[in-house]
Amino acid sequence: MSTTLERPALATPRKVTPAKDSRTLLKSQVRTGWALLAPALLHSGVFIVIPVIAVLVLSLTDYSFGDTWAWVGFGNYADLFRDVDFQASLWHTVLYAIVVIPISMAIALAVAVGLNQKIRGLTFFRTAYYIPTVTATVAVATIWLWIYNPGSGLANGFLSLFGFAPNRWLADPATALPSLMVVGIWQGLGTKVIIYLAALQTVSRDLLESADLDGAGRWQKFANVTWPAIGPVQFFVLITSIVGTFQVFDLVYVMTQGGPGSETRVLVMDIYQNAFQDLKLGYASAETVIMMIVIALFIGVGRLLQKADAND
Amino acid sequence: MTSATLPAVRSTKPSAIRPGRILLYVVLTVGALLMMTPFIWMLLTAFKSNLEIAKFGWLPGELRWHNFVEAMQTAPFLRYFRNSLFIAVGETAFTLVVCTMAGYALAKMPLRGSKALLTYFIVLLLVPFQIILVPLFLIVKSIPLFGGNNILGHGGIGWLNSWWGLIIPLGAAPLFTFLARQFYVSLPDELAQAARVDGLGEFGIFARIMTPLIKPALITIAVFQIEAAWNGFLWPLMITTSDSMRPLQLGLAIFSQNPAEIQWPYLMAGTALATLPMIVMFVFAQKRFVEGMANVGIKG
Amino acid sequence: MRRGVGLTLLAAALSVVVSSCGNGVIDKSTDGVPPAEATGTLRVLLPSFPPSTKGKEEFQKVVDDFHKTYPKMKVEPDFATYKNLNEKMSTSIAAGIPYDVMVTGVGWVQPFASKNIFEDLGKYGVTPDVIKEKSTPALIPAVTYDKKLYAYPLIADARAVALRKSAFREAGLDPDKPPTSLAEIKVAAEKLTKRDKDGNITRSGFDLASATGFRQSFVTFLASTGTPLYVGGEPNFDNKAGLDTLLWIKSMINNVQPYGQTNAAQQPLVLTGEAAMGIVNGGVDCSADGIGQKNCDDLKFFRFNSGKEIEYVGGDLASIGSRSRHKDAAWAFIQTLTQPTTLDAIAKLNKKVPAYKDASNSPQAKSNPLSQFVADGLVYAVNENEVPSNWLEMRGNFDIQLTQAVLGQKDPAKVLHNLAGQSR
Repeated sequence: MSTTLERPALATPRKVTPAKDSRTLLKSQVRTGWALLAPALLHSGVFIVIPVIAVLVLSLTDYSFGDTWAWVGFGNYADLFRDVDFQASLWHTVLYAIVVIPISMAIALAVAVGLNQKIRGLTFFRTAYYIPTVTATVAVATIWLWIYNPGSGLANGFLSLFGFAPNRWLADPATALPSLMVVGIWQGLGTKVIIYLAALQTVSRDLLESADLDGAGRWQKFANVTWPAIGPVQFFVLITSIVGTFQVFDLVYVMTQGGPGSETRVLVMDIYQNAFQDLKLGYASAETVIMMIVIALFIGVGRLLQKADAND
Repeated sequence: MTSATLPAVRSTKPSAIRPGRILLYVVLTVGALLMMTPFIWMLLTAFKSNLEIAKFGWLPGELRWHNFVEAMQTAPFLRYFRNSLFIAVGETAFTLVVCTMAGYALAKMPLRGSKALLTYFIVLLLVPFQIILVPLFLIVKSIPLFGGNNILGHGGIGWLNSWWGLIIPLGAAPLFTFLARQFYVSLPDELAQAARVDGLGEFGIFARIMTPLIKPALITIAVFQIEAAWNGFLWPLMITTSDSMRPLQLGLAIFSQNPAEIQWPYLMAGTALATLPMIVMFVFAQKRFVEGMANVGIKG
Repeated sequence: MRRGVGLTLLAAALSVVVSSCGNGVIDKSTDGVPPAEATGTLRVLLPSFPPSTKGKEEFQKVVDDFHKTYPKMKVEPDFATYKNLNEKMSTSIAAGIPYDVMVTGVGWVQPFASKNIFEDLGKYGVTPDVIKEKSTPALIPAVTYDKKLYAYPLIADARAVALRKSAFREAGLDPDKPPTSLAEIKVAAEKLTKRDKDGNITRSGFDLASATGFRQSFVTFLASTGTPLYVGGEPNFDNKAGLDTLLWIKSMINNVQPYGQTNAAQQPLVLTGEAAMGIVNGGVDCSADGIGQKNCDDLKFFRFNSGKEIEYVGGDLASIGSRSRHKDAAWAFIQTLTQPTTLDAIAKLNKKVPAYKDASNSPQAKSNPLSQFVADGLVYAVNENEVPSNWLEMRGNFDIQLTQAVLGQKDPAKVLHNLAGQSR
């Protein structure tokens, strides 16, 4: 049954809108629009755009916190293409993203659909899934270090329950990155589940009911009513996932520092090391620019894959 | 006459005990346990002694509640809690105001180039915080007319070591403008039309009609922003020199100050205590989620 | 660096004048002003005092002491951690508000000195002889750059080696005659390694303490052959001694210790019994809160000696910022820091050893057998020595490439050659 929004009891009859009024309306809308947008534009301009411009400028220099610095044009970029650490970082980050994004989105959607049924203990479930997200990343990384400890960690204890041989996890070049991927998926689930849940709850019940009346099965309802309806939110989750996985840092920094060797070295970690360890801020800025370009490419691909979001 | 509704989609069929249902519960519970186990582990470790921690073991020998007490007494944690609270609330209020306004403008206002502006906000998501740390620090130091600066931003320390510096730069993230916009976009335009007919101005439509309708989004933004502010480490570290303004995560770092001798029970106890408010907040936020999605509709 | 265009925008929007907390205007210089009248704020960056209540109390004592000579100078401490030292220092430098006193570690002095960020302490009468007389001579190369001294040692972070007597006896070895050369250690370790029926190592013969990288252990083992890592800023490891050492490490890993083995609590493995011998830190807690007296009694400490008896020693080193406006005051503050009572307090807070001459008799040394042992061994101290100016970058390169050599991903000789070439 549906109810209606209670409008304030005004007795004014509906006005006829002559052409003049529609122009004034447009003007007032545009004015209001810009006024509403202004604070965000100002804030992002000062605190994000200006630093980014600074980074762009820095990327053309060899500034390294010393007294003197020089313009090197695209020298940093040329050096980067020959930099073994950068190549490894780029590759690992792309790999990490390709694995973590689809898996975590799929699992999160499945969980959200599951939680959206009328089940008992909803509060418990939602809180449980969200706990990893509210815990500080440093704490998460520290705890997982314990779990992955080859000698005495939970992970190997778990494996031995099922009779599997212990794994070296983070200490093995082959399994180090996959181990981090697991933690990445684990930690990112909560946010996605919450967002998907909020979206699922805005799916028009009327449409679902009429689909029911038409005899649509559960899967058909999902594919034809639910999926399109959560389109904008899907896009949001995809974008933020791409950005988030590409910018993974705290997890890696605490758990492996990029090791063994450079098997788990990722982009932001490489940038951070170049900037604050090697004190080569100019070089690190160039690396950041390249990273942003790569993320933009991925988002472009993401937009292509994401079908018809009419409001975009 | 048709009516469209935007209610919460929940099945009103009675939950029959079907195998499908049981499977659902099992899967969800296993998943929930997987999610919670590390946190439980952390909690259990908080009760252990140093010796127990060095050797692996699930359960502590005894419940050492004094670990929690001693951890909190190592440093002025009450003050750190208060600071974190202040930063979290301040940042969230700022974000909610700025981002809902901007999101609405992008979603519903006929601005030329609003698509380009949306792309602008999305592109800003790309910027990793670590690399703009130094320029951002410089900008914050040069805010004119604050902290002893003249109108050109010289001579003083601007917003460094101040609440402004802790709250404003990291607030109103483009992410939340984006999220708000996506939610506003799915609201029907008829609502605005109807309100206009009743004489409500554009800003009024935004504030009194549209925004209350996206309560789930507002709560989502609030939850995320509070969590981000609560768990922030690097920026508060960089921007504060004095201890009096430092938030919780910086306080917890005391326990791992000496890498040769990390005080694990205290660290785990402190972290558990730090995470607790977030969990409590979330439990409460959920209920509002559901409430906010009560019956809303429109007659056309 | 960036100019004020965007900021005039901001100024227009923010027309409310609010005075924020914190210090306002940048100080006038006090150099040359008599101490009793000098006013201003001395900004100190140091990880040596944990920002806990106890740490801050100890620091306050130092400030009170300092105020006896400079009563009108405010002291503004920034309690950073070792992990974030670089970020804090570099942002302060880039922002033009450098610290007056900076306390860093071994390997930091040369990079920052080469960028003119630290002040030459020769002006304050600090010479190698002074350090030899009052402090720890072994830390002289660590504070030297281009023949000048840029830091003063505060505390020493020393490492020793330990063995478990019970494990030795069990394997038929004599705990009173510890193996000290690399060859001897390998032989003993192989005897002490325990495995399960699948061949997995259950107890390591020797803990190289290299879970996070082989840089420090490589330096230590190399030094025990009488070869410092760098000499006068030039690489000294691309030679037979370096290669032999790296190959030795390679032969130990996954032979007497699995790669990456670490205790979850980051305790040295020989203390927890997961290894029969191994590298330890500079102090041990023999009380019931720590490892217990029984464990303590089972330990015997010794030092590496493959030609030279050595003990790896890092430490906290105090420097003056070259752009400081209170250099005289900064030096006075450092002198207050280096009073024996202060160093004792810092040593106790960090479980390290104070870097003054008579460290063996310091309270911290007397507090447990391991601290006593390392304090007595400060005369044998070695570390990376006088590193090149890009050492902070080289640290990362060492960590990565040595691991790749040990794990068989790269050829050891080529790795050493590469690292030597990268050092500048």
